[in-house]
Amino acid sequence: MPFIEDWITHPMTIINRLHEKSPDTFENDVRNYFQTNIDNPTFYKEIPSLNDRDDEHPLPSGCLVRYRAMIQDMADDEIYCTNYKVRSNDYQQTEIEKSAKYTDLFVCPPGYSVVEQEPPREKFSSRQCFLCIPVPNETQWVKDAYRHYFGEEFTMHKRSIDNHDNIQELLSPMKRLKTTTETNNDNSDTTAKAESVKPIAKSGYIVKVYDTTEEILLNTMVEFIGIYYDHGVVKADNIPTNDEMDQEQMPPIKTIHCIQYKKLAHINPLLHHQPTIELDQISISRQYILSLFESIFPNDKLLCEYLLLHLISRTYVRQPSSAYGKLSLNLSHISTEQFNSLEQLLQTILSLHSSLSITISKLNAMQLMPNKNVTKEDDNENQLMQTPLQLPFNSHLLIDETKMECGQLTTLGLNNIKLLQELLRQQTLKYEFHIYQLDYECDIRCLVISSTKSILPCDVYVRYESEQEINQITFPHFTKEQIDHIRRYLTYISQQLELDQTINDTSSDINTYIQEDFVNMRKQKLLTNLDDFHLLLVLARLETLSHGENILTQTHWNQAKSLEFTRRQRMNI
Amino acid sequence: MQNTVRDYQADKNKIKDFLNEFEVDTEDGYKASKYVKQLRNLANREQTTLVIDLDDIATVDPELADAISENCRRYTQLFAQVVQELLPELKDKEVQNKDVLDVYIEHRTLMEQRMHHNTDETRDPMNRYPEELMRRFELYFKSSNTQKHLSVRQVKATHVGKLISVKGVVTRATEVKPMISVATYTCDICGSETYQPITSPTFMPLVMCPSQDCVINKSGGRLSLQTRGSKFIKFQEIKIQEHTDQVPIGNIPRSMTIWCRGTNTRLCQPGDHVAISGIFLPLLRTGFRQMTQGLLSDTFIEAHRIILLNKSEDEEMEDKEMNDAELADIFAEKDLYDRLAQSIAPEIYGHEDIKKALLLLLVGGIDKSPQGMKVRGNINVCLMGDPGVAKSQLLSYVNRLAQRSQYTTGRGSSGVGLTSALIKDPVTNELVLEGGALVLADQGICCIDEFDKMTEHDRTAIYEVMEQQTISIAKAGILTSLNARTSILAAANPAYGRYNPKRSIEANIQLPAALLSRFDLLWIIQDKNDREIDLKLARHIASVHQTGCQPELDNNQQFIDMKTLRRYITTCKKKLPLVPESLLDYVVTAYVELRKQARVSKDMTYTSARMLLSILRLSTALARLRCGDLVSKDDIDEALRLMESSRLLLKDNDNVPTRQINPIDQVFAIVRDMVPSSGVKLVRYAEAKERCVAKGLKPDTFDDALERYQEMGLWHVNQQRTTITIV
Repeated sequence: MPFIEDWITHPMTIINRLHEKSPDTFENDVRNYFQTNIDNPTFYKEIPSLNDRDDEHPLPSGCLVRYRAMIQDMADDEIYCTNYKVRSNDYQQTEIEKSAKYTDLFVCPPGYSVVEQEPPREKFSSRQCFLCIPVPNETQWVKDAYRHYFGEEFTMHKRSIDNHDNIQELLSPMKRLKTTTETNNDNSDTTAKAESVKPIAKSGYIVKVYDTTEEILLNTMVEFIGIYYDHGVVKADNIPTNDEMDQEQMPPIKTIHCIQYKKLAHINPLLHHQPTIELDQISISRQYILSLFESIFPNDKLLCEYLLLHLISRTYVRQPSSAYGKLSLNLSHISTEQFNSLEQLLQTILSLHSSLSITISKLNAMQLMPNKNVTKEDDNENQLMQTPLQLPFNSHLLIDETKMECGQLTTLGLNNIKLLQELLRQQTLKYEFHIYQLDYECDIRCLVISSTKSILPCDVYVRYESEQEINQITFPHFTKEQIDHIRRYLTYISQQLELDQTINDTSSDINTYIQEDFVNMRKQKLLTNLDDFHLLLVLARLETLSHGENILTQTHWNQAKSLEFTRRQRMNI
Repeated sequence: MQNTVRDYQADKNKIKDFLNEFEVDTEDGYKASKYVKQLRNLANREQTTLVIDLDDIATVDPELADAISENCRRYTQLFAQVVQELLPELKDKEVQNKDVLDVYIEHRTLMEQRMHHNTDETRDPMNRYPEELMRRFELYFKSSNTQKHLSVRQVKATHVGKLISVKGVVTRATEVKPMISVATYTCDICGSETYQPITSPTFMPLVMCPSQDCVINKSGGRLSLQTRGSKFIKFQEIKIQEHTDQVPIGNIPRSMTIWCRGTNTRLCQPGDHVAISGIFLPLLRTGFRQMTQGLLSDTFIEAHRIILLNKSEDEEMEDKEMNDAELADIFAEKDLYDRLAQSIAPEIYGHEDIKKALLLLLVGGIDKSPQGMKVRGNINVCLMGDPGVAKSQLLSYVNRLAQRSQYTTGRGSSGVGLTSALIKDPVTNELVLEGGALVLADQGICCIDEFDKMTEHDRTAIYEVMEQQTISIAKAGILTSLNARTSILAAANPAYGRYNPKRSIEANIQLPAALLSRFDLLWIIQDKNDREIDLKLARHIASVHQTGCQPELDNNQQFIDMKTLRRYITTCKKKLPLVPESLLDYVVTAYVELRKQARVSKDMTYTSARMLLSILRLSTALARLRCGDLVSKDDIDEALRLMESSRLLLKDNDNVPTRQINPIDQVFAIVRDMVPSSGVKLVRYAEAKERCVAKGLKPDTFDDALERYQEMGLWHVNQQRTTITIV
């Protein structure tokens, strides 16, 4: 490629050239040109990724970038003029028409000046603006893996570290984490607080998207490829003139003009190369995971099984007041040691994981409901405030309720509890717009760890039972490869739940079997509640999927049943 | 798009003709010139705004109307110029009450006449009086009625410069401030005046005097701004945001800036729902800002017309009443009543009768106030049942379906929260009444979940609402009565959590009789095992998990969707059916019978005179549901059946789902059924008796019934006792 340097560092020159060549087909030309380059994996790798950048080495303005992000807020459409003219200052007065797409400012070659046009002559067009932030709950290994795969030249020093522990990768993530928690045990409270209350730094970018054919929803994960500008947002501001001082104090939010975007269903880098897994791999990975869980919860197969099903659950039917397919789990009576190991483990195997610790004082102090104060005068403040609950679809959220104590809830605290309850019950999250509130659908797997039964409504409650005290947790030895298998398995299976509809075509045999079973259970007073039946169906479905199958069979149905009834026996329900 | 350049001079003439000649038909058949009259008022300063209806223009010259909505700003100016020219001719008396600007202008005009009356030198345009300064009226367009209201996100770049209508909620409104529209300067050397019309929010004040004297003499006269001679107009900036139902799922609501001037200011406040028509314009800037602004342009709507929609109007626009054709469509379907009921909370299986009751609650009866006494029409329903029988789902469905409703839980709300509270205003320190859930649900439905968990004290707050439909307050010197015309839908668990058939009903309910009697219907839903039902239930749930939607009805009919249902209910509510006098006796008998039964079984603590009203309310609601003008006997029967079946659920061992009709009524029913549909309403005595005996009734009862009903005048038996004539 002759322009190999060109198209990454100076994409605008190419765009301008294409525009000069044929202004009519310009838009298609640009799309095709970049499409062919991006589709080539080696060229794709060349594009610097904003996710792996730190502030010390800023990218040059006007270069092409990749950005893996979550849509955090949506701004109003922006109206811009599509074309402008520049006229040379010399006697020839040659006029050149320029395209104003993919840029915010006039670009005026030396010796030229911008021709002012009468308003009716101008052509306007609009583009969508999104405020995007890096995926908030992306786990460390995902970041590392992306760096490892794509960001080689920019992260040389990082990679050498990776290489270093490549040999003893087996336990490294866990070991590393374990050492941190051992030292941090006493001040874990403070770190947790800092984590949850921390206002999200305005580290996001404004992404301006042209010609959106499909709808981009809030909280979706998208990979944008576009032109990066390091000047602050150019805003045609309102009548109350802002002080110039103000603008200096605020770190400007930088802009990306999107050329191409791709919605991401998941961000597991391991599945990018190898989108499917073989069946035998699935059952092996399933064993691996269970053995990992069992090392944390020895002698409690039941709990481990539920934990696995919980991790692959996903909402698949939504009804106005309920959502089915989710499986929120509440674990209790587990030691701090176990809790910490569990959290580390989840961080190591899941791609989207975050945790939230709730206590009375925290509930009373922090606003969990994302809110946008539209009544405020200040336009700069007028953004959706992100909270720990604004998460992309298919996230995992660990709610730590163990430090909850008695106390008085304020209105804010009560609202926060209500918000969490709604999240657990219906998988919807309310956003506050001060004039009204809006419900947004979400899909967050919630794992509530509490000392006794949680105050939040969970689908399944399991109390850990074991004879011996657990003091030392040792994970079985796993190679990096094996851990990767687990990671792949979890993302793949939970992905499956949505993609594969064949599970619905349950042969009528199993259908009648289930129905008969239900009637019998009703007769024996085993099932009193319809919600229990819903739960059984969800369990059966997850059980089927966890084995990599997609047709519900009697075995899985019975498995789910026995699982649920054993649990009930333990819980004395 | 208007590509050809229009001849504005020609348009001006057209406008002049239009204004002079446009006539509308008045009610009494004469023609009246709509605009000339208004122009005369303008000239006499009796009117400040002139609203020109695009529909009017379209009837005369559709092309012009299109041109106006395409390039509205230009035409606003053209119209204003034309009106300005027309005004002096129409003035028929000296204008009264002059303000400062009037005096000022008059002085200048006089001065000009004196100074330049014989010279025809043309003055420098800067020094001439700009028309904006002289203009004392405002001119707005009213967009055509057919134009749809857009949501904020539907306003695109193609709308720039056009007259559009947008709907939304006001999120903030600035204070009304004076905005300069013409700046007047005087020169410190030559004393001449300079005017600068201003259109953008910022302007660069003039410094050097442009008058001929100063320019020729190069005297460098400095200009100073004269506040008195400048013209200011009222200005307000409003921000609107999309209404909740305009926001697509998973999107953030968008907002838009509106500029209001003159009479359009102070029309709305934050929180109001408004429909605004105006010109969508890019913001023009001058000087440095224009460069930094670059290629972007901020946009706003210059308001021409602001209509405040109160919430109910807004809803009516959304869910308009059904027209006759749609109604006919609905009526064409079989078993409308059953289908309507099934469409309520379709995700919940079964409970047909409860759904019917909820349907009646949504439709409601009719309020009556004979001689000042108020009889409520709203129907109150209490659902009591074992946990897990979908009470809360039913409640939340009704909450979503009803046009106006409030949802609270008994435990979460105090009596004050339900009724109203006195709050000290933090700014003025005055006491203010703030309505609680019941007041907010006025003319709607108040759903109260966990009714049994409410404290006794809080519950009493509802008593008044449930019968009198008002809330009286006597607190801290404020004595008032607020309207709370709400239907109450309550859900409660039986005492001890689960219904215990071994205990008496009162022990299970544990609510005071005073409260119970205020509910028109009290359903006790028990979770019973029944193979048939369970199987259906299992199939229902399994299908929800498999297909993700509701299974279809047995006869392949679709459920009526929520929107249609809502519109149908609105339509039904317009009907005011009457109870025909002929049926009164029937109702009375039924009621007497119920009382008698209550006395016998002794457990119905809540049978009281209120029941009679309940029957009437329910049957009126049923008649409304049919869109009927008269309550029929079937309505009353159905109302009775509902009342009966709500209780039958209690009687565990009594599995007969039919009403225990007393034998005398039965006779009446049998005889009535035998009446030939056409011809003389005559039934043979012997035949009737035979039929009754066949049904297991004693001959004595038959004779009894004959006599009883003859006394009532419902039928007439001839002397020979051979025929019965139905009246």
